[in-house]
Amino acid sequence: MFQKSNIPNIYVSTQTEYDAIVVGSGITGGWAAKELTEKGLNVLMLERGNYLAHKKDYVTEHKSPWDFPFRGRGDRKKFEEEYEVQSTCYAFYEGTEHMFVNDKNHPYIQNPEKPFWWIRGYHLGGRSLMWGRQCYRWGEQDFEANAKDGYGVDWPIRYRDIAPWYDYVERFVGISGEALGLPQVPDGIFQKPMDMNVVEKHVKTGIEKNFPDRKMTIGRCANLTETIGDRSPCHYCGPCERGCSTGSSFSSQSSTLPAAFKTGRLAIRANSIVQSVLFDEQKGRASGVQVIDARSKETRIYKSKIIFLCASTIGSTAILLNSKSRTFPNGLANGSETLGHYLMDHHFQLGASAKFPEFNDRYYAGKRPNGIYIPRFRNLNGEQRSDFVRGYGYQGGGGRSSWKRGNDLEEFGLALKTKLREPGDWGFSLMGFGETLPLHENRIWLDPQKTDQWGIPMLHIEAAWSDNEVKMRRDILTAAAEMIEAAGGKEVSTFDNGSIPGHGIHEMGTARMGKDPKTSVLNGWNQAHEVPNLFVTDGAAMASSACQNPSITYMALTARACHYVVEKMKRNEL
Amino acid sequence: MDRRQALRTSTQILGGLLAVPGLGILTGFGAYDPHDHHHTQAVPSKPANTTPLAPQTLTEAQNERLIALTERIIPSSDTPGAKEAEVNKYIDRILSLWMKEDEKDQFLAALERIEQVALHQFGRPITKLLPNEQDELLKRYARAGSGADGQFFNTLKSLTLEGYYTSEIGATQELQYSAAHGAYIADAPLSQIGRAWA
Repeated sequence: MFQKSNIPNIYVSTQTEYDAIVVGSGITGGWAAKELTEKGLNVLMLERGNYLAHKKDYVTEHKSPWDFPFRGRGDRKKFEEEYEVQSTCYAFYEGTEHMFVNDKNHPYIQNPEKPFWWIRGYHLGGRSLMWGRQCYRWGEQDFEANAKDGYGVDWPIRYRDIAPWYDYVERFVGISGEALGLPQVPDGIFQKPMDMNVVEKHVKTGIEKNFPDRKMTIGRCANLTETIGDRSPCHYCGPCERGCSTGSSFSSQSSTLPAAFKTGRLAIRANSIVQSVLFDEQKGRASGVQVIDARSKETRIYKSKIIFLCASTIGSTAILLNSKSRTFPNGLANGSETLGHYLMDHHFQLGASAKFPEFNDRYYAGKRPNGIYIPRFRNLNGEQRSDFVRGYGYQGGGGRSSWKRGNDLEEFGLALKTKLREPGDWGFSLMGFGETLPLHENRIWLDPQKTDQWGIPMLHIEAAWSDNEVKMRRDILTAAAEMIEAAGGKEVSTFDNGSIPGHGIHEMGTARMGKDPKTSVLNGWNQAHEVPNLFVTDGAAMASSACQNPSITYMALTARACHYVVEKMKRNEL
Repeated sequence: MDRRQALRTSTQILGGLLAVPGLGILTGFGAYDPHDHHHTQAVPSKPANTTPLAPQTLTEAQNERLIALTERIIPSSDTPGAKEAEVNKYIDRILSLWMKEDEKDQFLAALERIEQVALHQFGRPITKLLPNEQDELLKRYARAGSGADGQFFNTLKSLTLEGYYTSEIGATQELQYSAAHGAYIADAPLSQIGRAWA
C-alpha cells in the first residue's frame, strides 16, 4: 500500500474540501494522519520539504566508512557555509547531511547574546527519521510542577488523562525497555529490554547500592526487540539516523504513514509550505490553509473542516503568528498574547566519566542504538532543594575506546598498530538532561520587514537559561561524579561543554496549553481556546518541559486529540 | 567553538576516553568514541572507488614521500599497512578538497622541509632511506612539541590513522567490521571476540 502510494506531488484539487489538513509529517503529523484517516476522515498532509520514500530514499543506509569520500567528515566548506547550525548536531555528518535542512536556504534570526540552535529536517517524515528514540513517560510531578512552584501556567491535564494514550501509542510504536515501578517515569507497554554490557551492569550495582533513591536502567527506546507487523527487531547496525529499512527504528515512514495509506484516505503534498491558516471571521473558525509551493512559489489554498498543526514546536507557532486577521491581528488564536513565548528545551552537555580497566578482558559485539538511563531523583518524595526547583535525569553508557585513542599515544609504527588491534580501556559516562523553566522572555517572533525567499516573514528565536538551570547544572556535575566514583570508576572526571538552547532538540512551548484562555493558547485537548477547529499537537503545546525526552508525550497527546475531534464531530459538536 | 572542536576539547579533557556528545538524544552509542560516526557497515556494498588515479595536490615526489612516511606510521605486518590501504590517496583528497588553503600550504611546506631534514641528516631523500632511518626521522618529529614540525607530525599521524582504519583493509583485515550484527552481544570474553571493532 505504502510503496504504491509513494508518488511525489500527487495532484490535489484545490477545490476539494478535506475533512482535515495535517501540517507536517514528522512524529506528530504521522500520528494525526494515522488516527484521523483510520477514524474515517479524508486527510490532506502538507509537508514543506521533499518526498522521502521509505527504504528507497535511505541512500546512505548500511554504507561503510570507505564509501564516503571524506570518511564521515563531510564537505567542510559546504558544511560551514550552508549547515552552520545543523552541523552542531550529533547526528549530522557526511552520511546524514541530506536529512537536515540547509541553513542558508532556510535562515532564521538569532540574537548573538541569546543564541538558539534550531535543528531541523525538511522532508517527509521530518525528524522522526533522525530522532534519538528515547521514550519516557512523564509522571504526575511533571503535570503538577507549574501549579506547585508557580512557573508557567498549570497544565489543564494530569497523568491520568494521558496514561491510556501512552498505552495506546506505545503498543503501536514498540518501545523496548524495563519496568521499574517508579512514579516519576511510569512504566509503559514495553517490549523486552536491550541488554546492558558488563560495565553498565557493574555501575548500576554500584549506584543502586550506594544511593537507594536512584535507579539505573537500560534506555527505553523506540527500537524494536520484537516484531510488530512487517517491522523487524533491530539488527544492531548502529546509525538509525540514516533511515531504517526494516522499520526497527520508529519513524513516520516505517509506521504511521503506511497505516494511514492503508485506509485510502490520505493524500500527501510535499514541497508545500504552509504560509498561514485562514480564518473565517463570520464563523469564527479556521477554514483552510494558504500554501506556497516551495519550487514554483505559486500560492494555493486548501480548505478543510479541521486543521492539525504538527509542523514542529517552532514551525507551528510561526504559522500561527503569520496568520493575521481582523479578529487576531497578532497571530491566530493569540488573544492571550502568549503565542511565541515560553520556549523551552532541555539543557545538557555535561556530566562525568571514568575508566573501568579491570573489565578489559570483556567485550561486546553489535552496535546497540541505545544507552542507559538514570531517572530523576531530585525534588521528589518530599525533597525540596533550596538551590533549584524540578529535576534532571542522566543518559549514558559504557564502552571501549576505539583506534582514535592512537592520536593520544606517543608511539607510531608496529607498536602502535599492535596496540590498536585491541580495544582500548573500558569507559563509562553519564550526561545530564535538565528541565528548563517556561519563561516569557524565551520566545520567537516574526520580523516586521525581512522575509525569506517565499516572502514569509523571517523568524527571530532567542532563549537563555535562568538561574535555576545554572544551579541545577552544578548539582548535575556533582551527582554524576559521586555516582561514578561510588561505582568504582578510575580517573573520574567531569565535563561541561556548555549547552546552547535548541541544541537538546527537545524544543517545546510557544503555544502552550492551559486552563485559562487569557493566559494560554490551547486547552487540555490541544484545541485552540479561541478557534475550535484548530489543533496544535506537537511540542508547541507544552506548558512545561519536564526532564524526559518528549516525543512519546507528543504522540500520546496527538492520538488523544484526534480521538476527541472525531468524537466531537460524530456528535456534531465541532 | 564549533562542534568538532568542542568534541575534541572534551575528548582531551577525558583523556581521549569518551565524551558521548548528544547522548541524550541519541544515547545509543554508549561510550563509543564521539568522533566515530562510522558504526555501520553493509550488506556488502561495492566500495565507491572515487579515488582519482593520480594525486590532485601532491606532486609525484611528494606522493612517494608520503607513502613512505605513512607506511612507517602504520606498517604492513601480518596485515597490510598504510601503503596498501592507499592512505596517501585519502590524504591527497583531504588536502585537495577539505583543508583550508593555509592548512594545506603548511602541510605541503612541512612535507618539503622534512625532505630537507632527511637530505641533511642522511644524505638521501626519504624514499631512499632504510625503514629504521625513516623511523628515526619520524621520532624526531614526534618529539618536536608544539612547533610546526610537531604539528605536522600530529596531522600526518592522525590522517594516517583515520585513512587506514576507515579503509576497507584497515577495518576488515586489521580490525574487525561487523555489518548489521543481527544481535547485541552485551558481554563476551575479549579472547572470543578477538580484535577491536572498527
